[in-house]
Amino acid sequence: MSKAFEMRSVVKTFPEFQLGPLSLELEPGTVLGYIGPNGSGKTTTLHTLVGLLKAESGDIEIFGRSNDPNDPSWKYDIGYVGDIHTFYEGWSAAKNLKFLSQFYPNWSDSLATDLAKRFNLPLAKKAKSLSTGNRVKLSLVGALSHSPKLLLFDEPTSGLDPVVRSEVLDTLFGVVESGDRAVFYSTHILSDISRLADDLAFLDDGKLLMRTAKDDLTDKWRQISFRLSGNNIELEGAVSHRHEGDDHQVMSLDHEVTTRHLTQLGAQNIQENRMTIDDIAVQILKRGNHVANS
Amino acid sequence: MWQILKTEIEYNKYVLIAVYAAALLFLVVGLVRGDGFYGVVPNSIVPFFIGYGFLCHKYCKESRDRQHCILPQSRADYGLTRMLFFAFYQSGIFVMWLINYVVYIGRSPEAIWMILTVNALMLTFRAVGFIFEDTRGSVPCITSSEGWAPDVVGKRVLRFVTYTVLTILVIIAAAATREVPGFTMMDMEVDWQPVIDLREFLRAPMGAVLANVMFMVTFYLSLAFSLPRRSFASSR
Repeated sequence: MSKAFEMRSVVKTFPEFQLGPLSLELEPGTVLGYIGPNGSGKTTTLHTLVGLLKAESGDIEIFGRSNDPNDPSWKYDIGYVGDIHTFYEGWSAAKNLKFLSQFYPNWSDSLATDLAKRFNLPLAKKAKSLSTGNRVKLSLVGALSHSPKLLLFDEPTSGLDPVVRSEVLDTLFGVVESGDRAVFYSTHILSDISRLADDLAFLDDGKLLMRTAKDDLTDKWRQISFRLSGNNIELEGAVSHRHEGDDHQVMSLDHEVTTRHLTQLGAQNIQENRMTIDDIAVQILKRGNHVANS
Repeated sequence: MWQILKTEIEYNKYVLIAVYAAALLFLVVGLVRGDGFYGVVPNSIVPFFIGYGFLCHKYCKESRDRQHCILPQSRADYGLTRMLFFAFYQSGIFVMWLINYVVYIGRSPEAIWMILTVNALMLTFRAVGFIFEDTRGSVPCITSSEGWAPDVVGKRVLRFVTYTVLTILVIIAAAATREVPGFTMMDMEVDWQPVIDLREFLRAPMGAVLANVMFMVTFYLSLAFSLPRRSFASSR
């Protein structure tokens, strides 16, 4: 079965920024969180995927079809919600959905109505009078109502207050969890996606630092404290290291490797603490290439 | 393609009606006052430009270029649709000029070249704008905070200069068949002697042919360039 999407050595250059060469793929039914700080190239990745921007080099395939801008059939399988929500502002939410329905053969009015109910979206209101939260909801209903096999989200909840964000995400994840869709969710707030993601990919300054299964991260990363005399200790698997006298604390991306090494070195009082996914993400992004190379 | 064209016409119907009504008003007032063909045509361009400026502002503010590019339609269709909408808008004015022409000039070929020239220049005007958007990247709306960034101002100035040159060409062409330089616009007698007098050229069949060729070339380029869009506002 073909991949939901596959990017091979994609490069997109701006005057002061370059994305890639980026290779990334997503299997059907997988949820991939795409994590990176602001300006790291997440939106550019999404824009090249949906065909808004053309990459200078590299190939992109969506379900085995090239994302050729002149053969748009591959777009039927995509539901995209970007960071900017564009509508016919003078028209009601319902009329905006009606406009979108003309373009998708699989569009279901009943699904759109059902989703609008679940999201508590006022369909009769004009787009320009909708709150930020409701604009996000309208975009989501528009992206989901043709039952796409691949959902692409680009920080859809940015600008929302925590209460609305949580409400939108709860409903969205309720919808997404019930289907067998591939989801590519870009965000700089890991907690938005950590609940749902199977895999996580970390991007910084246009480069993919690492891609890993979420469970691998939480299983392998540990904060390890120990006693050992000496300051210049090179530890296998450690990505950060600080100490006060003989008391050391390291962060390890593979606790088994690090602990084994510590035992060989004769370290005393070795204690391991699990790390939250947010802490791990911060470490990966802070230490960039060092972690990627490890 | 047709869905978007139909939607754009429906969405902007009140602006279209207002512009056509204003242009019609100019036409009727011109007829009543006996301004003549050459008095009415330049004046009818005024509501046309104001109306189109408003439509463009709304289009830019609502980022509809982005929305249309995400939809499952080919970029060639996208390039064609945006031009067709402008051509539809322009056709209303074109028809009024033809009515005005028949009323004042009858069936002689005089001034028909001028109508064709002005029409082609106005279409060229828009096609050049599309090429700017596609090759230089879209410019954030003037009312947005990003709309005055230094690189954006550079793009805006380049556009302004190009549009001004094209507007002057349109106005010269609209007054091309008058015997004296200048024209009447909004009740003002503009006694204007251009540095290069293009009137002889623009009122000749060759002027109309050249203007239409220019439109065809810029239109083709706008289609070709609509594929590798350089950037959208806030695209990183």
